[in-house]
Amino acid sequence: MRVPERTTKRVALAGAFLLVFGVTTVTFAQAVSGHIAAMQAPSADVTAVDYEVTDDGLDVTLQVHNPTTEAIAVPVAQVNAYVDDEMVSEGTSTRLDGVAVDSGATQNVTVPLDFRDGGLERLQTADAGQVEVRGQLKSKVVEETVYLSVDRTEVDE
Amino acid sequence: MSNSTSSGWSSDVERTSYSRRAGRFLVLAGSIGVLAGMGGFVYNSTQFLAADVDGRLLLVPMFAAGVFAHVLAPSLRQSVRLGIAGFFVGLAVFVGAWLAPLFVLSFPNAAIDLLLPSMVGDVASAAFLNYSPTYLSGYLLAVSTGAFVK
Repeated sequence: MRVPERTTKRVALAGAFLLVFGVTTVTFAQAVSGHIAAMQAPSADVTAVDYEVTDDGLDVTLQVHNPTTEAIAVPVAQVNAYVDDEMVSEGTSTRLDGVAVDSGATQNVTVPLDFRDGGLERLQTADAGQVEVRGQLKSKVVEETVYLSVDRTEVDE
Repeated sequence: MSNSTSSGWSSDVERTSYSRRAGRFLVLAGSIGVLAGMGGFVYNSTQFLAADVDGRLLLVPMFAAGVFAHVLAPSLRQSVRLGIAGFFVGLAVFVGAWLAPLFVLSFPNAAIDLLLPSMVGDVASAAFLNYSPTYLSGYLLAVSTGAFVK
């Protein structure tokens, strides 16, 4: 019975294997964490908590809770304001620069909207409880796009 | 590698005790499979990597796992066994990691029923289109090269 000797070649092979294995493990951990976070992200709580009429239009405040292990970036909001199902904001998507909600954090995100013609007057004559905010946030978990929908829509000023 | 026969089909290592051979085989097949499976997963989830890495570079772990299955085996017989076992262990790791969120995140059963078919479809096509060809080409290239280079 003879067991092969620990030659230089065998040590080099084992070293090469461990090197490739180690680097792959690090990237794998990153990828798995992102994969799980991206699947969990749609269950994030997004609630419209407030709105405010400004000189430029309407600022809607959304409270976003991120339950995942990764930060969620929110580059685009596809959100609109309605009074009795009638849209009062312009209806386009809003670009938000540098907005991100950290892992496990709850954060307010302000979405500036423009009014469509007559929208401001319609909003000002609305009663409390008539105003709704609906839509979704087009978000990113690392580079993966996920959509977070606005859960509770009725807002008071 | 020290071979007792001219074909290299078997080696002196195989004369060691059964449990020792089986243990060595399981460790090697497990390590090679885990490497291949992790490589397969990473190659198909590049959107989650913080660093901007060339996609072709991410084929290396799968390819290397195939090569290691041959070069770490003491004989050609062991190489075939390791090659096949590593392939299937890797496939299990890849598919397991891909589907894991469904079971880790306590999705309701209705959501699992809805998501599972599409996720199985995604991982099956990835397994056929990039995992299998890359791992097997690494393995077969190592075997073919080994036939000429001692």
